[in-house]
Amino acid sequence: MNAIEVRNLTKKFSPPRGLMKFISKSPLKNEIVAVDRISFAVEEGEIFAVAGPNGAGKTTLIKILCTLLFPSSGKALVNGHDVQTEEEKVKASVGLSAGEERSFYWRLTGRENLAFFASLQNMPKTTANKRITEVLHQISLEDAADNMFYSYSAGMKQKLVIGRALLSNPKILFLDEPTKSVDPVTAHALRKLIRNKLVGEQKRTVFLASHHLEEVEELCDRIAVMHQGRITFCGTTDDFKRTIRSSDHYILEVANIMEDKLAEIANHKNLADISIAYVEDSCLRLKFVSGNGGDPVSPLLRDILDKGGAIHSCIKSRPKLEEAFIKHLDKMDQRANIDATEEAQMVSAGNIKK
Amino acid sequence: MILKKALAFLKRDYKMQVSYRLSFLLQFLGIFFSVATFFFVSKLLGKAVNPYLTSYGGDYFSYVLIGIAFSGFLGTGLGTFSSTISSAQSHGTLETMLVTPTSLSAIITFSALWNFLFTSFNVLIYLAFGAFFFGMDLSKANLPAAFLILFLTILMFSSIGIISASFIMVFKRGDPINWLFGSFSSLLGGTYFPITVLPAWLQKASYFIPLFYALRAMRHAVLQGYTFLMLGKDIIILCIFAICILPISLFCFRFAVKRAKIEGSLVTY
Repeated sequence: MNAIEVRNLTKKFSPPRGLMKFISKSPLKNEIVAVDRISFAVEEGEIFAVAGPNGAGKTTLIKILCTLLFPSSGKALVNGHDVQTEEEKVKASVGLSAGEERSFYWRLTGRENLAFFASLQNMPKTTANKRITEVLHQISLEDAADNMFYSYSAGMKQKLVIGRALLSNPKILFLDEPTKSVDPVTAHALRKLIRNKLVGEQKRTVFLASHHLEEVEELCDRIAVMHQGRITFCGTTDDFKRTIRSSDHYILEVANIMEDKLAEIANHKNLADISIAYVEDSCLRLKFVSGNGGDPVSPLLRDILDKGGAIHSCIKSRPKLEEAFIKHLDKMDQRANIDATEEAQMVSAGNIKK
Repeated sequence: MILKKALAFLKRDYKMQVSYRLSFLLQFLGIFFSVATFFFVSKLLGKAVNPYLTSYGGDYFSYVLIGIAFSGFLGTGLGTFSSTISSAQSHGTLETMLVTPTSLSAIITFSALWNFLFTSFNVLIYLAFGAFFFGMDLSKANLPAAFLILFLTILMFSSIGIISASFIMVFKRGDPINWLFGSFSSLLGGTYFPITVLPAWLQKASYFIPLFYALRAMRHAVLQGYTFLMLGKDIIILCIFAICILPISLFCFRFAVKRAKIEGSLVTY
């Protein structure tokens, strides 16, 4: 069984009409299609990410899957239950970490906050207390558990957000920007917790929404890219990177050669984005990009050695998910512009015909 | 499980309330000053107001104290549900609570419990200050009748409060129900003065205000010790109000939640 299954899901937000338009001021002027006929499935025990620019529809999608919003059409099943008709069963199988640090009671301690939210999960008191202790251990917050929430650092607050989502021992975890506003050490610890503990050991399914593409690349098995409410790619992160013709980035550190000589050699090799800088007194760092395929490095190294240079290091960096993501979105924007132009031309041609 | 959830809400609100200790203590001091003020106002008025208050025992101090103390339930009933929603929306806790297997109606009902309990506590303090420091006579009080009237009053005002919360859920601010009932009740409900001092045509308008019946019955039960039979008319009217308003409030609330879930405005404020 799939943990999450979405079929042709659409969510439209309409501006108020009639009397409501007069009474309530809405930011909407026209109808917005926040989620547009999307379909995908997430397998049990998988870490699945949804990525996209602001306003792509990621949060709306998570809200629908957590029963906070009704879809306009289509179907969404979470743990086999329909989000519209089996709301209670869906709620019993999910945990939501919405990245909202202020969504706690600031004048209660971390433990008291968890105890309150555990009481809403239909848990007997002894089970709840045991679970709170387990969760506090998992998120490494035992020592600060009895401090007031307002005294917590941003990282501790974020850990408690995740801890709260884990209270009910949910099969499926929805994590919206889980490492937002935390330092790199805490972010690393949280990612380790998600990957090793929650998914590796406890076999939970994780549905992640993140702008942080390095995090997505590190954590996720598969990714869905959303753009203007639609899913424009769904597959593994490696497949996604392969969708773009990516350039190879190189960094070369050489000694015993003058800067102008090195520039001359590099320029003869048809390389792009060349930059040269001193890293130490006698060592130069050459950065360049090669998008032509083949082997641009061997002839370059040969020429440098022929001129008496010494190679300290040579690194080829793999294309990053972020690069693929930006190129993908550019392509989608261009396609959307072409579609809009063609539509406008067809409308104007139709008017002339009339 | 329901009881445990209700207790969890009470525990949460109690802990937050007592974490502001000074404000907690000052509130009781405020009640003392309010009671003292009305005691001296009643001394100033003397026996001049007695003809208007004969059915309540003729004493303005006791009359106004019951009015102020119990009209607190109107304020709590009208305001607590909508303020609970607004506050949970603005603090970001509503969304988190809504993803648990606890319904929105349970969330707002349990969130209101502490306020009702606190208002009841305030009423006791009002009466205690009145009786111990300023000689208010509570010896005739028919307590079972007073509790029944209190229950009906809370039910009725809570229903109006839930309608008010439904407006808040859809419009976010500017709730006409709270404004309408709040304004008319303070003028026509008989909190500070008997409605007999009003012009005849305005007195008739008071008969449409639930607070008027609640306060009249409460004064008769607490100050004069009226029996259930003697309070029958007011109790029946309060029951009719409650029976009419409760289903309307539940309908409005269901409609508001559905609309908010369609519009995506459940957690916006």
